[in-house]
This record gives sequence, C-alpha cells and structure tokens, in this order.
Amino acid sequence: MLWKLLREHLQEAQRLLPLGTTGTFTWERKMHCVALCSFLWLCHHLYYTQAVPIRKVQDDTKTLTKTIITRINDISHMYSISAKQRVTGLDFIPGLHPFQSLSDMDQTLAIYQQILSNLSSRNMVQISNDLENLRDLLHLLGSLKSCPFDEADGLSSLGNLEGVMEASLYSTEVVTLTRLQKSLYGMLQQLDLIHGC
Amino acid sequence: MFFLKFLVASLQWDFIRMIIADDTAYQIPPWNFTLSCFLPNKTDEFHWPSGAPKTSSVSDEDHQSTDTSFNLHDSHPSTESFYCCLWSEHDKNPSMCANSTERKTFVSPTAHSLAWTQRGVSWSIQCWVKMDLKILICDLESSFKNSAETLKFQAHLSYVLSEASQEDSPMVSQKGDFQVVQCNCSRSEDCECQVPMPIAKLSSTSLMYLEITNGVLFLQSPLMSVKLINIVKPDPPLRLLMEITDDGKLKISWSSPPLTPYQLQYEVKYSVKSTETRAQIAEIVLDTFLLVGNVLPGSSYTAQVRGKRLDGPGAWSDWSTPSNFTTPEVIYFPPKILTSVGSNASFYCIYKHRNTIVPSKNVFWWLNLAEKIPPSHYDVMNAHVSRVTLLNMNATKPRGKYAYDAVYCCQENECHHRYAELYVIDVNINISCETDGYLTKMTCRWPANTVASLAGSMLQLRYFRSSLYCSDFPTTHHASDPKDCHLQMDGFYECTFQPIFLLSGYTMWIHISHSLGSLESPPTCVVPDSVVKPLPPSRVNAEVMAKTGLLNVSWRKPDLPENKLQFQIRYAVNDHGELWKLHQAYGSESTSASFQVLDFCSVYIAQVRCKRLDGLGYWSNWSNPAYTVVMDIKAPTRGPEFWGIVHEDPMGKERNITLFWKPLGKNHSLCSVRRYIVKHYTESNKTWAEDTGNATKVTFPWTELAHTVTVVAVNSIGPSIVNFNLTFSWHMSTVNSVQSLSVHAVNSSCVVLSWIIEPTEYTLMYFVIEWKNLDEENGIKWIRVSSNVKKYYIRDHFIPIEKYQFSLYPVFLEGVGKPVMTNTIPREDTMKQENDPGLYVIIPIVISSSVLLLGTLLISHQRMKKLFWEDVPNPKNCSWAQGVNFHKRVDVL
Repeated sequence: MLWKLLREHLQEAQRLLPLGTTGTFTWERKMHCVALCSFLWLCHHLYYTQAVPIRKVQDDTKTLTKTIITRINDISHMYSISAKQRVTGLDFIPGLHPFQSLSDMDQTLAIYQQILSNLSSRNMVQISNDLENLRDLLHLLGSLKSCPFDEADGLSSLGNLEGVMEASLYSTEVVTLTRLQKSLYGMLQQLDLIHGC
Repeated sequence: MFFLKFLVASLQWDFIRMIIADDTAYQIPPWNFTLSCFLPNKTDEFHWPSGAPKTSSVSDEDHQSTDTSFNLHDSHPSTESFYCCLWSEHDKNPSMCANSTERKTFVSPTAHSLAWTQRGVSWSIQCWVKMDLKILICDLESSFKNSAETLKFQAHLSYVLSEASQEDSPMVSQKGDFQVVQCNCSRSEDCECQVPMPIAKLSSTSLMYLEITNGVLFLQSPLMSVKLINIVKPDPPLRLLMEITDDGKLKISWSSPPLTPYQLQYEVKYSVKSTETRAQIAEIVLDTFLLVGNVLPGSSYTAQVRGKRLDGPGAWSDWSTPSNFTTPEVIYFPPKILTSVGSNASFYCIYKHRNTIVPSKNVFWWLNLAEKIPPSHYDVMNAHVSRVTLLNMNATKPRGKYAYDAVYCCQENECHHRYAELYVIDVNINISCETDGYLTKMTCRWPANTVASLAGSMLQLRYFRSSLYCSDFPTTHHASDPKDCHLQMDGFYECTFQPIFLLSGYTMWIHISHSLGSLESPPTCVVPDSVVKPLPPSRVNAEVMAKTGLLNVSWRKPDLPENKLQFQIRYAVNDHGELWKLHQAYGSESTSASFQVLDFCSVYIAQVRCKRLDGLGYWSNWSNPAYTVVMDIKAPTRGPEFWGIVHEDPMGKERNITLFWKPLGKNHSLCSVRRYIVKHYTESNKTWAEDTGNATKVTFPWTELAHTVTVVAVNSIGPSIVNFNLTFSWHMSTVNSVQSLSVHAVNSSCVVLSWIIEPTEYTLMYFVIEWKNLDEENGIKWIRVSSNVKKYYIRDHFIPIEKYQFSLYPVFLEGVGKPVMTNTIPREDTMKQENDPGLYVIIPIVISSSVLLLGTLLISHQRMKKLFWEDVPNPKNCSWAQGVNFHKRVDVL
C-alpha cells in the first residue's frame, strides 16, 4: 500500500517536473513537492519506527520496570517501611488500581513523574528519568500496536500540594515510592496479559 | 558711551523678548554654516557664496523658504545697522530667513568699519559635541583672512541648556538664564568657543547666540538652537586593518569608537596603487568592514574611515589614522585550510611574476615542493585565478616542526616562496562510554592526543539526547550541549553523565576549535543501557566437595541490571602463579558451578564476573577472590614408604630396629595425616599396633626371628588401605644376592652405583640403597630401587673430602637380605677437573708464557751486553781517544 502511494507521488512529480525542465516553478508544483516531501518523511518515520522490533520494546519496558522496582528497593530508608501503617492526607498520589490500557499506565506514571520531580534528590531524579523513559517506551509500544493514546494530564496543578510536600517531604517520598513500586508490579503483570492496547 | 551701553542693553532686551515670542531659532546643523552680516542696502553687493541667489531678500519670507538653496536666517536691524543671517549650503531643509521685526539683530549705531560696511562680513561656524557630552565646541573662521581688521575682534557665546527637547515644550528663556563664555580667538582669524555642559544629555537642547566685536563694530548673531544629539561628533574608528579573506577579497575592517550612544554609518576611502592601476574610492557602509573585490597581487592599499550617526543628523568624525597594506605577489585564498581526513579542499591563487600577472592557464601547483599536483586537479576560474582541488585527503604527517602541507602556486617549475598551508586532521576520535553497575552514571572517555599535531586547538565534547534509542545515522546537525570533560593521567578525557536516561540515545561528537576553523569528529550514539558494566557478583564462595572432590564455586548475582546475565568463573591453585582456568556459565539464573580438579588438597582461589547474556555491555570486574579450605577428601591412598635400621648391641644381646619414613604427601594422604600407626606382626603371631602420632620415626626391640611391620597413615576419613610391609628376619639377614658393588662419583651432586646380582632361591622384591656420611651421626638416607635395576644415580650433595658409606640391601619377600657396603671418598681430583674444565687450557698457557718470557729475558740480556761494548770507540782508530782511560769510564758506568 505504501509503495503504491509512493509510486503515485513519484509519477506525479515526474510529470510536473520533467527532466531538464526550465519552466517556472508554479504554485501548484510547489504544493505537490511539499506533499511529496511530507510523504517521504512519513515513509522514513514509519521505516524508522518499524526498525525497532516490538519484542525489544516489550522486553525493555519490562526490564526498565524491574529496574525501577530494584532502585526503590535499594533506597536505604525504604527497607524498614511497615506495610501495615497507612498514611493519610496524600490522596493526590495515585493508589494501586488495575491498569486498563497502555494509555492508563502512561497517565499514572505521568503523575508519579510529576511528584518525583518535585522531590529533589539524586535518587528521585534518576527514578524520574527512568519513568520518562518508561513512558516513552509505552508510547512507542502503543504506536507500534496502533493504540490510541491520550495526552497525559498529570496533576493539573500541584498548587497546594507543593505546600503539603514541603511540609511532609519524607512522608510524601515514602508513600510515593511505595505506591509507585506497587503500581510497577501491577504494570509488570498487566504487560504480560495485555496483548492489544 | 553711556548712551551706547544703554542702547545695547535695551536692544538685547528686545532680542530676548523676541526669543520668548518665537520658537523658530536657527537649527544648528552638524556641518559648517555661515554667519553673514551686512548692511541692508548692501545685500546686492554682498559676496554670497556660489549657489546663493543675490536676489534673496531678507524681507521676503516666502521667497527664502522656497527659492533659496541654503538656509538664511536673519535678524532685522532695529535701527540702521548690520543685518546678520545664518545659512548653510548643505541644509536640505531650508529655514526661513524671515523679515520679522521680532527677530532682530543689530549693530551698534555708532559702530562702523569701512571694510565690513562695504563688503559685509562672514564667519564659517561649526559646532559639535564630543561623545562624552561634556563640552560643546563652536569653531568660528572669519572670511577676513590675513586682514589687519580682524586682529582684535572678540567673540562671546551666550547659551542656555534645556533638558526638554524643543518638540516637547517651547523654550521660554529669560535673559538671565543665559550664560556667557568668551571664545578663544588667539589665532588671527579663528575663534574657538567651548561651552561646558556638565549635566547635558543626548536629548538636551541648547539655545545660543554669538556676539562678535572688533572694538568698533558690535555684531550679534540670530538666535541658534541645537539638540545635542544632532551635533555629536563621534571619535574616529579604531584598529583599522586590512587583510585578504578566504575568498580572495580585501577586507578593510575597523572597530567602532567606544561609548558610541547610537549606531554609526561609516565612510571608507581607500586607494590602490599598483603597476596596473591607480585609483581612489570612497564608500558608505553600515558594517564595521568593507569587502573589496578584484584584489591585485603586489598592490599597495591605503585606507581611512570615519563615522557618523546612522539615524538622524550628526557630525562626521575625523578620519582615522591611515592604514597601509601591500598585497603579496602571490595571493592564496584561503591562505590556510583546516579540514578532516577524507574531505576535499580547494585553493585559489593569483600569481604576479615580474610585474605581470601569470595567466591562470599557465599556473601549476606543487605540494611541499616535492610533488607536482596533476593538472587534472586544476581549474581556470578566470584569466588570473587558478584553482586546485585536492580530493579525499589523508592526514597530514608532521614533518619536524611543520604540521602542514605546503601548497605552492607556480609557473612551470618556478615557484614563489610563499605558499598556502593545508592541515588535514584525522578526526576519527573514538568515544567509548560505560554505564556503572548502579545504572545511574555513564562515563565517556576519548583520547586527548588524537589531534596533538594541531597545536592550539580546543576540544569539546558536544551531545544531544534522543528520547529513545539511537537513530541509524547519527548526525551532528542538531541543537547540542557542551559537556565538561577532564583530562586524566592516562591521557584520556573523561566526562560523566549523571543522572542518566537509560534507554535514551546520547549522540556525541568532539568539536575541535582552532584559529583556522573548526572540525567535528564523526558522531557516536550510545544508549546507556547497552554499555553497562555490572557490579561483580557478590558472596562468592569456593570449596572442594568431600567425597566427590569437585571444586564448587557459588555466588550471588548483582541486583542490577535486571537483564539476563552470563557468568565467567576462573580458578587456580593459590600458590602456583595463578595459572587460571576459565569456565563459562550461561544460565542467567546460575548461582554456582562445579569443576573437576586434580589436586584435591590444594588451596584454590576462585573469582566470578558477569555480563549481559545478550552480549551488550562489558564484563564486570572480577569478584573478590574466594579461597577453598583444605579438607580430607578420602582416606589416604597408601601408607608411607619406610625403612628400618637394625641397631645391634655390641654385646650381642639386644637388637633394636628403628623405622623412619617420609611424611606422606598430600597426593596420597588426601589431604592430611592426623597420625601414623605402626603395626607389628611377629613369627609367633603376636600382633599389636603402635600409634606414633605425627612422628616419622619409631624404634622397637627385635626379639623374635622374624618381625614384620607395617606403617599406616590415618586422616579424618580413615586409615590408608594400601600399605608397605617390611620383614626383618634373622635368617634372611644372612642371604646375599649382590655379587659386587662399585661407587663412582660423577660430581659433587651425583654418585653412580652399579652392582652385579647373583641368583638366589628367594624372591627379590626390590633393593634399598642406603648412604650416610660417616662423619655425621644422623645422616642416613635411603631410597627404594626396583629389582631389575643394575645401576643407579644418587642425587645428593656430597662433600668430596668426607667419607661416605653406601649400602645396597636386597629386600626379599621373606625379609631384608644381607647388604653390600662400601666406604668411599668421592675422588677430589676428578671432581675438580670436571668442575673446572678450563684448567686443561689455562695450565699449558701459563707454562708456555713462562718459557717465552724467560727466553725473551735471556735474549735481551745478551743484546744489551753486545750493544754496550760495540759502541765504545777503539782507541787505536781514533786520535782523540788516544790516552783516554776507558777502564775508568766503564767503572763509572
């Protein structure tokens, strides 16, 4: 299909610009050239996208997810966190819920990334970077599977939450990482189950 | 006199009132303008400058505004007096020369001067402000040059400074606001008026008028107005330079004067002088440079530049200091090229030889004066410009201090000494990156000496990040960031990215900056995830397993990366110079591996390292070494070899046997011996065991006719299964099967024993050779020798002057037989000769030399004796010798 479209465009271009032509470059010809260039760019983009095997993207997604989980495990003060203790007042941090789609995962990770970027420490920055890569992978996976992808809203405005985080930095960090880790475990399971979008 | 002063004062008051009423003062232009004064009835006779109509009527307002090509401001005399006007030839917007009674200038009615009244008088005036706005200067130049009438004239400038511009608010000035400065009229016809303006701004406006008197006449100019910004005179431009550009043009460049408050335009005038042409050209430019084409070789250029405000009126600065530049006889453009390996480069050349420009078709190109560049690389650009293009160039090989190739433009085989320089640099700089085991940091390294030949170059790593992975064809045409890199001791630059995006593509290249230009190395794209060097496995343990004897190495994989890993295990015997054996474990979940080892009883050292199973990244460092602990694997494979010596009481009543053995080696003990047990069997079937612990010697009485002993080695697993027996029998101790034994010393460390056996009815199992130094008490040594051996070399340290006893014991199945003994001293002379083979050579040489020396001495003695007596004159043949007593001389001698 692509080749057919490309061939048609090339034929049209040849018709409009015969070899050795010295005629003026009319508006119509310009428009056709722009269309041809756009089409070639699209072909290149599709080629590049297809050049990355979907299998590799899936593997990298899982591996990066595990990497983030391990990173959280390796943060020293995360060792002694009690699983039974609940922390209130941090409802803006997403809880564990089953992911419906790749887009859903991306939405959740966007919020975590937004929160982590406000927790200024080297560990947090690294995890935030990892989340950005992970979201990029989800997007690429979605585009390879031709999945619809909603624009990630994130938290519309941290607003008052910044005050909460400043006053309760440690709690915010612990709860964020704990919930993120659980979400990532959930993602890992879902990635194996989701064959479509 | 009083009347005169009163009249002047009253008229001045009128003048000031006129200022207040009228806001149309003469706008001082940034260029020269003229103050002309004359009697009204002499206007026709007045010497107007060319272009100014003599018919101009000071009272015709409309005519001046439309017909005159110059400004003419006037003041109408209040009485019969001089009429003064201000005008300028260059003013594009002529002002009105109104015949208004409100604008009056006057001359003292009592003043008169013949010349002035007849011809009128003019002053050329130019006013300007320096860029610091501190002083306003007006120069006056009288038209009465070298006239005695001007010798004594004086000028005063009255002024008032206003912050607001004229447009904003009409000036309303009172006489008292004006300040007066006296002009410096030291020279005959010139005056300079300097007005200090300590609080002036560019937007400030000044009102002023001039008063001029020569003591007889008193003139006053019309009111003048000026906005300071309009007459600012910039400083002349600085640092005027001329050079040939890379595209063969002459570039005249300069710097704008400092503290310029607005953009300037420049006027450049330059002249060229050569054998072909001679010209002077002036151009107005907005940039601080001017490019001049068609540069001729061997020409002399002189240039000057001045500046003026670009937008709005302003005064031209003075001309800058002239700059001279002579173009060389051969012009290369560009004169130097810096490029990278594999690229193409072109040089252009104009060659003037003996005052004639060489036609470009006659130009040849040479490289390093050694190699003629083929004409196929030449292009004729025009009649005088030739081009050479070098294709796919290799790196320039530095020749001594010359780091470039010299490119010559020649005519036939005659080349001018000037040349172009070509620097071809290999920019294939390898950038290698490594991500640490925590996956938080990527360190990239690149060698610093890659462009060492290009002195003065600055290297900088630049990079950009793609969101995911690398493109197949990384490019440098992308917005990039610089990265700080630090030179390491090993000659590499090192840069660190932290934190990182694990799966992003980092495209990097080295930007080489040099005064000749800049180069870029080919870009490299790295995904941090693909260059991980994991942490080494931890908790490595090594042990040799009991019973199986396998070396088992176990470890724990690092937490990161989460990818599947492969492992390598290496092990070696700890004390054997680390002759490593390497094994691979591909199982990603592997945590241990076992290996068959030959030496169970050695301490083994083992290490483990890991790498991603897919092959990406690097091997980790080897883990900390793990050592095995030596443990008994099995019961000893056999007991120790032992020998016994019979000690007989001199009285013949008691015999003792002393057994001694060598400690059992690890290869037989597997791996240690806890104790030795000696088992006794006598002829009367008595059996007992004797635990000797770790002792390797035991003595027991020999009481029965036959006594058999066995030495058993015991370790933690159990006793040795296979053991040696030795039977001591009274009867067998008399049986001799050795006919003769001879001993011959080979050297101090080897003695050879040979023997002849005679057949016996007993079963000969083996021989035991025993030797001891008779001068030592406990020096017994022994060795077991097979029964079919007839000659045996004993390796030991033998002292030639000491006496040794060698014994050969036949050991039969029934018991130890009778030994053959021989005492000998290893022959000293033989050993010495053998030890010093040079002796055979040295001794004859010494003897021969001695004989030769003796013979030489004897011959010399005879020759000397003969020589003395032949030289003594014969008194019979010599007159002067007659009567001389030679016997006496001989005595003296």
